This record gives sequence, structure tokens and C-alpha cells, in this order.
Amino acid sequence: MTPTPGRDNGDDGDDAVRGDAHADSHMAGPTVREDALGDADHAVLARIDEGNTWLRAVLCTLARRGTLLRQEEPERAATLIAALSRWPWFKGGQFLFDLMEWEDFMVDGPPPPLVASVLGSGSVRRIASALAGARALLDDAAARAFDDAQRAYEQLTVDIAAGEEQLPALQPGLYLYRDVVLGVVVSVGPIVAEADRSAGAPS
Amino acid sequence: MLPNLGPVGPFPDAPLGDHLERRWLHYAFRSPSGDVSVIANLSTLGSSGPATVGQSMSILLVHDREAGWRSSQFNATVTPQAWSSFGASKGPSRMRISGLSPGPSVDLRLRRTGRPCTSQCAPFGFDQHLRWQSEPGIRATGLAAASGDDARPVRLVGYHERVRGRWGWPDLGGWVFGFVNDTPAPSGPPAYSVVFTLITPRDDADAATGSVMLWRSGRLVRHFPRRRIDVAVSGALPRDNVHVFPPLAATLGTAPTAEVPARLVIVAQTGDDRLCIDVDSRTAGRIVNPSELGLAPFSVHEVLGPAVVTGRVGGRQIGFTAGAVVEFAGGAHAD
Repeated sequence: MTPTPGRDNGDDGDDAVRGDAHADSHMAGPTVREDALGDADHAVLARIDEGNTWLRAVLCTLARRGTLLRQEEPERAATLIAALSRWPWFKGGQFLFDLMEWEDFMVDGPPPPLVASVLGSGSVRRIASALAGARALLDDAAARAFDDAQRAYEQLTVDIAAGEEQLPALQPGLYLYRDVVLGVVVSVGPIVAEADRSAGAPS
Repeated sequence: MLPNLGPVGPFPDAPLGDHLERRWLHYAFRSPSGDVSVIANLSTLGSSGPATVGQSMSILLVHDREAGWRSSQFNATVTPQAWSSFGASKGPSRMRISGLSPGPSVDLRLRRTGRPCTSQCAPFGFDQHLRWQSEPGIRATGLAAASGDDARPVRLVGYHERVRGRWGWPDLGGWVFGFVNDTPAPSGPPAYSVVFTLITPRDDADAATGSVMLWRSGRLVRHFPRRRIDVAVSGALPRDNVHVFPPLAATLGTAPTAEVPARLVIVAQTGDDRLCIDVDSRTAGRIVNPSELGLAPFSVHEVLGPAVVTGRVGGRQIGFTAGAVVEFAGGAHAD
């Protein structure tokens, strides 16, 4: 079920099949050969592989946090999804998730290790800063609020993702994207709430 | 060694879950003259038992205009391995499928000539879904035998798909599926290909469970969504033209199922784009699939017949007649 890259399997047949094989080989184009690559090619592929491995571990960690929420607090999970699923960005995310076959990417091979540092307070602060910056590009009033928001996040001390996590296994299927989204919500939620409290507290 | 940046095969390297989780690779080909048709399905089902090994079933049907239908049991052998255009290897590959003697067999080289559609997903029931991805215009050349040693050279054009998901047959309900490839040039993709799917789950009838898609020269050029499709059937194929497979089914008191429509007409329309597919059923092979949730089997009628495709898409007039493969499937009611 898993064709090997660059290998033309089973080309050992009789004349009828072999005659078509020549035509097909011509149509298929150049052969894929690993030794055709140079050091620079391998260096690029190695970097992509490194990022790929990390991204897979991050996505699987988020999905497992979401799975835990879905298993332990099903009504909270269902309510969150009901609210978020009307959001255009949620729909766009589902579309991209399907288009890029990210479920296959996540479940392919042995489970990756957990990345406990995913969406920690520092990460959320940088994301919030980037989003506020994007808003400031569009809106002068948002630019003024940007400084206040940045101050609130800089004062954060909460770090929910630093500890050991006991998470259920990944559950492939229709709900994997939703589990990733839930994982993002449960990771970011306490940090955003704390930032809101910081912003509201007298300094 | 090249890094593995994504799944190598048509499916991820991951075990299937419970007994309702499944995957399969489907192949269907016809010769331009309609003399020979080949249909194969290679499936794997998950397991809920202590053994986590899934159940694999492979079936091959060959229809010869003179010899009629021949089918393997559910234990056809595949060597050296299942070919798929959804894997990492996009070149031609050889695949042999054969039933136990004197069953049908094929020895084919398969090659894609175009691109697949994006994956489509139909959610239904509770926590169930079927995800499928279609690619018409697949060329298959080699040998095909309806039975024994009557192999003859064939040049076929057809269709390949990968399907995965988790469902029980009673919840899935049924489907109408099919494809038509316009007669292709000697080596390139068909000028036009049409693939249609309509899944009819028992509940959630409002789900996005269907589409009509049009390819031009190997590229998907139009996707008509479920709500822009009308499906109509009329008449009934004579029972004598419906053959029950695998052969073992005849010894198990397999009950009759719904009639196969004699004619299927699908109309898809979005804005100024319109496509009509009019299929005339001539003969059917009924594959009787066991259901995990009841005694009534899930029957897939593989129907052969000419199709007339007409319409206008993107300002281009379309009109051709070619052999179609259509599936009318259903019948697995819960006990």
C-alpha cells in the first residue's frame, strides 16, 4: 500500500506488459534518484524536515490537549466548537486542514513527543503582539490600544504549559481539526484571562 | 536518504481504530470500445477485538462483452503491491490482481494522466464520516482475463480513488456514484472526464454529501456542490442482467435487494454552467458486502452502460458519449 519513491515496481513482465512499460516510462519523465541531489539540496531538505518534525509534534500536542478537554468536559468542548464554528477563520482553517491533508500528516508514523512549551505565556505574548501589530496596520485607533495590550502581556507570570502533561492519545478522524482548535483554546485561555485581569488592575 | 516530509503511501502509516474505521483503494476501467471492463476494490477494516490487526478484503471483477461478468471472491491477491496515484510514486507501476484459479485476473501498468480533485468529506450520523478523493483519466495497459488463461491485451482508461473514514453501513445509507471518461488521445488525458457522487445517509440529509466534477485535459475545471445537483432515476434493469458477487454470496442465501435503475440522469447547474449526464444501464455486477452492524448486506451494484454528457461550462460547449461505470449502493439496514 505504500509505493516506494523512485522505484518502478515489478517491471519483470511479459511482452504485452513490457511494450506498454516503455511507452509509460517515456511519459513518466526523469527518474527520481537520491544521488542526483547535491549538498545544498540535502541541506534545504534537512531544514524542512526539521521544521516539519517540530510542527507535527506541536499540532499533535495541541490536538491531545483538545482531546482531553473533549473527554473530560464534553459540554464545554461542544459549546466552544458551536461558537467557533461560525467564525470565518475557523471555516478557513478547516478548509486548509482538509486541503493540505494535515490529518494524514499528523497521524503518519509513530506518535511524536509532547511539546509542553507550546503556546506558553511567552508564545501567546508574541502572537498577541503580532496580531495587534496587524490591526495597527489597518486602524490608527488600534495602534494606540496596541501599547496597552503589550504592557498587559509583559506583566504576565502565568505559565500553564511548563509542567508535565498527561494527555490522551491522538484520536484521528473527523474531529482532529476541532481537537487542535480546542487545544489552542485551552492553552491560550488562562493566559488571555490573566492578561485581561492585568490590564484591568490598577498599576 | 531522503527525508520523509509526509505520508509516502495513499494512506498515513497509522493503525486503524475500531471495527467501523476503514480504508480502501478503488479502481475501475473500461476499454474505449466497451469490450472489457475491470473493477477492483482493495479494502482494510479496523478491529475492535483484542487483536489490533485489521481485516483486508480484495475483489476483482472483469466484464467481457462475450463472456459476461466474472468475479473473484473477497480474497483476490495483489502483487507486488497496490498501486496508487495518491502515493509518492507518480510513475507507471505494475499491479497484478487475480482471483484463485480459474477466476479473473489482470496484469496492468497504471499511469495517471491528470490530477485528482481535492479530498471531499461527508459527515453523517454520530461521529461518522466518509472522506474520498477521485482521479479520473487513469490509463491501464496490459492483460486482462475474465477467467483462466484467456488473457488478452487491453488498453483501458478509468478511474482511481482513495476512501477512508469511519462509518456503519446502516448510517451511511447508500450512494450513487459514477464516472465517464471521454475517449482519450493515444497517450494523454481524456478531453473531458466527469465524476459524480451522491451519498444518502440515513440521517442528516442536509449534509454536504455529493458533487459533480468536470475535468478538462486532466485538470479539474468545475466542481458543482451538492445543492446544485439534481438526480433522477427511471425504470429497472432486468433481473437477468444483475449478477451477484462474490460467487460465494450465491451459496449463502443472499436475499434480493432493490432494483437497479435502467436510467440515471444527473443535472448540475451553477450560474451559466450546466452539465447533464444521462446513463443507460446495460448490465450490473452486484457486490454483496458484509455489514458489521446487521445481517442485511451492503450491496454495491457496479453498472456498465453508455453515458451521454452534454452541457456548457465556462463558455465551452460539451458533448460526448462514452462508456460509464456507475454504482448504485445501499441496502444494509440495521436489524
